[in-house]
Amino acid sequence: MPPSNYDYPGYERSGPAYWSKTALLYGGVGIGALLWSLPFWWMLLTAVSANPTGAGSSLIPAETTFANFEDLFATQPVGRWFFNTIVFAGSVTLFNLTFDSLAGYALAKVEFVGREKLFLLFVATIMVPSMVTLIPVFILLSELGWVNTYQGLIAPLIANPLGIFLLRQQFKSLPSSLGDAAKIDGCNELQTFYKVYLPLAKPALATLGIYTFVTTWKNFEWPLIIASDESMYTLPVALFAVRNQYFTEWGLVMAAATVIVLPVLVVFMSAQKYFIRGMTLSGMKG
Amino acid sequence: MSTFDGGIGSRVVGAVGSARSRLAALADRPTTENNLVGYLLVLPNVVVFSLFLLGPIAYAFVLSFQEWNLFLGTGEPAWTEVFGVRLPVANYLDTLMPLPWENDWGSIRSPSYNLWWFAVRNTVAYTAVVVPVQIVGGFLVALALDTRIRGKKVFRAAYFMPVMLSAAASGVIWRWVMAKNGVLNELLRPLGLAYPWASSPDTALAALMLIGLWGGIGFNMILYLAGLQNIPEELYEAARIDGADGWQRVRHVTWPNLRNTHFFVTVLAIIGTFQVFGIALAFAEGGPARATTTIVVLIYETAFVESSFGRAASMAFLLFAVVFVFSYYRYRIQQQQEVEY
Amino acid sequence: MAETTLDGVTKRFAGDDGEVLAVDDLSLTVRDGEFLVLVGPSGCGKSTTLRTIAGLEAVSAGAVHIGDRDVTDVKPKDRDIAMVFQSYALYPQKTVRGNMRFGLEMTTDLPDAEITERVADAAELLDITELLDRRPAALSGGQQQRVALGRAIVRDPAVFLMDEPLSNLDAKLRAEMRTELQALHDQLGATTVYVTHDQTEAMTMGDRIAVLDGGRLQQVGTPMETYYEPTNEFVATFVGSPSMNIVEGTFDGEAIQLPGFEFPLADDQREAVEAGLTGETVRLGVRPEDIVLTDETGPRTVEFETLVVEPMGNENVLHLDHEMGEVVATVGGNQRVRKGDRVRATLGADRVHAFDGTTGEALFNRTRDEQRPPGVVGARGTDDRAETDGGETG
Repeated sequence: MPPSNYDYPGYERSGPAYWSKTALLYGGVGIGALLWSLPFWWMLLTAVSANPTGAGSSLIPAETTFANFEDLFATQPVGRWFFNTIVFAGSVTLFNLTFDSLAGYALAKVEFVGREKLFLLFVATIMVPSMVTLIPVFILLSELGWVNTYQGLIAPLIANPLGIFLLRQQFKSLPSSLGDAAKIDGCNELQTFYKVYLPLAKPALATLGIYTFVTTWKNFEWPLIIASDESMYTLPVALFAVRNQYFTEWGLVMAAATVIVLPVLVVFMSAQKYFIRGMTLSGMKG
Repeated sequence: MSTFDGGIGSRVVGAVGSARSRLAALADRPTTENNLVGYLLVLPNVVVFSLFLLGPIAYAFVLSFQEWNLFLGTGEPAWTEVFGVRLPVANYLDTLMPLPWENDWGSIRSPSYNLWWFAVRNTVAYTAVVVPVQIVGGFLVALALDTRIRGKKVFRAAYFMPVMLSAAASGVIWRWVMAKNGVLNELLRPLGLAYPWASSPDTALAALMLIGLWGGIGFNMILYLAGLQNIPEELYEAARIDGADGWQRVRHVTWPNLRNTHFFVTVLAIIGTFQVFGIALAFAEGGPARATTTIVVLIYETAFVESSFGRAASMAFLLFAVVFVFSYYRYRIQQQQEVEY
Repeated sequence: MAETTLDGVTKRFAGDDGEVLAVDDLSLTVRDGEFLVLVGPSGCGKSTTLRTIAGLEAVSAGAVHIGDRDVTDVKPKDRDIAMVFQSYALYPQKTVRGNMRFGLEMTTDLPDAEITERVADAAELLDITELLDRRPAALSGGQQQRVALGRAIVRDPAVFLMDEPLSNLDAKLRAEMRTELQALHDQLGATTVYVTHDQTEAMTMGDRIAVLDGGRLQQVGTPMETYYEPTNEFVATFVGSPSMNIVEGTFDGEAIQLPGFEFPLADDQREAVEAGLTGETVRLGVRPEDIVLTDETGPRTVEFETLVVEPMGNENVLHLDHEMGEVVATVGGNQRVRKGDRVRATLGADRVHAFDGTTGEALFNRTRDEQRPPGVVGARGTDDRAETDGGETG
């Protein structure tokens, strides 16, 4: 990283060397960014193209139509899938925020016997590939009759070592003198938690909340396994199913992809900062 | 003083002194209260962890030694003979045999001998290409975006967007991008390079790598951008005074000072690519001709298509063994970073 | 308002390698209305002591009384105390008003109007009324300091506890706040226990000073007592700046033999040494201002070589070299001594301290000869600290 201060002797902001370097920089980054966005553009293009197979599309649309979207909404329970996904991502997020802020606070600020060992145990589970636990959890939920239910979708994802790790870090970074002051001001341990420390953890809660919501929203493998009935599909599973059903009708499939991708991109654009911070802090699972 | 300012009431050890004060020390109420509050607060997580992570790990281990089939019933140990000894390791043996070098490395060349080793081949090839390229790519993009370039946020968003997508969406979109009449061929046709990239067994795995890179480079870019922020400005100023030009500053200041990030990124990438699943399934469902059947795709099929849970569990544990080594390093780094923050 | 007593307070922590004894059998009485300063180097146990009074740490042994009550097992909120923290510990999410109200809302049933009034009064007293609706992040360090004080004052506690409250302020503001805190204490008259590592702060602010080292109480007394009559070498060198010079020698029955110099003792000094000495070695202490440059020669004059001169403006600090070791002396700011000068100085017979070489206990101290300077034409009240002695030494 060149330093942010460019205002020093010898740094030329003109001349052929400077301009060729600049051109190279913008050219490289720009072409890369265009290539990166190309699949999105192609998706949108196909979704609004009049030919349902998408064949013969060019990079600039000749005419646009919403026929594919109308088709999609007419033949598929898209609303239900949206609802499922919101319930799924929303519940997992709420449970995570609640449970993990409780545990994160206890692991950071309450001294109790076995605290460090418990934390290690929680964090060590990050190492386990999800395929190891998917099978037994599926068996467990089958026994409970929770296959194709919301509780079956939601419950297993509440155990989130990353959330505990993140919030413990946050609470650890807050000064313990605040807790002392709160105790002198008459708070017990629980009041100290929700009156003093919890409001101060808002940035981390926002980060974790948005991060959890998006990763749950886009989670593919778990709903794929537990939601086998069309009425319980979440959007990613639904897209997969739509594609298998309408194999060559790419116009329809891309309309479905657009419906899934757009909300995520909107969330990302409006909360880029939080999401990137969450990503950076957690270095999440593949 | 600072030595003692850190913690609230730690364990108090039995006191010397009058009987009264001894009692006071034993009745150290904050500690009892702290224990109670502490356990209360972690209880919800202890429950869900036990039910959905810790318990299942133990059960999966047991399962990997059992014949288990959703339709045929449960629980019989999967007996087999190993050098004349009866052991419940049939699942593991079925998975691993024949060994890859038998049949003149047949199972590496073709999926028809042993699908496990073919999946291992696919996964290792995927990892070997995707990991280095997405790390170097992510580093270069981060470096480029960390200059005085205008529109930094727009560029960053462009590279990062794929990370936001569900594997299902990435896989399906790219399937269409690479289809016979997809946009890729639209662009390549004038050059005479049109090819059925996704539906040919020769190119499907390479296509999958491309999808992996599409997401991976943006992800690593973010981690490197964060790493770059931690390099103190003074180091660059010192390097300038020592006469280092732009490239030398990258080489002698930037690169070595990102040592932690390199390690972190590498380990994360390896763990992630070893478990590649969603994009492979959504892109080509493991095909064509098993060309994109990775280890996790195989485990998924074995468990949830064939309902051979015991066999799938044994495969999952074999994968676990590999991932564990890398995960352990990742965990160690996370611990180190914790100290630094 | 209440007398506060620590009775044999001991605090052990479980450290990485075994226990750490933070406070060792400390007994101390803080008188009603007194401003007592706990002072010592870092790690001496002063903050831990304060935290046991606050109830933030449970004692391992001993008892704490506030007023007539044994509060050893009482929670902080029920101890009738208030505390000012080094980092201020203001709740960032609350306004100044919210910060000041919080304790009263949590611990009392006072009607809202009463709380409002008390906050307003305290704010008035501290001149922070116009800050009441701001948040701590929008305040300067000095203003945060005042808010932290205000939060303590509204509680109207029996005892104020202050943990290095001025150490995060810059030097100028710190000096101002010292005076202001004293004025405030005079006005409120509340018992105050004040922790600092800064001996200047201790000297200037305390009615009495309690010097701690290694978890043990070294001495309790007025600032002048600790300065002129330290009970041991630690207190002698800790109090005063620049530090007291210490030179090691032996006692031969008549005089103290120092390397290259013999310091003759007066009769009472000799008797004190004979009575108290446990081993062979005696450590002679003399404060920098008691090394006086002179033209005359005598039995107590020594010649030094000047190594370094540090001009401070009001005085010059001389680092002098002699066979006995390097000593520090101060002369007036207008007395020009140059590096390399040879200087002759006398150590006044009644200006030296002697400490036991093995135990560090004081054998004898210098004589006190404080006097009223010319120009004092009258007195208001009775507060004239230099003359009201009578602290206990322990």
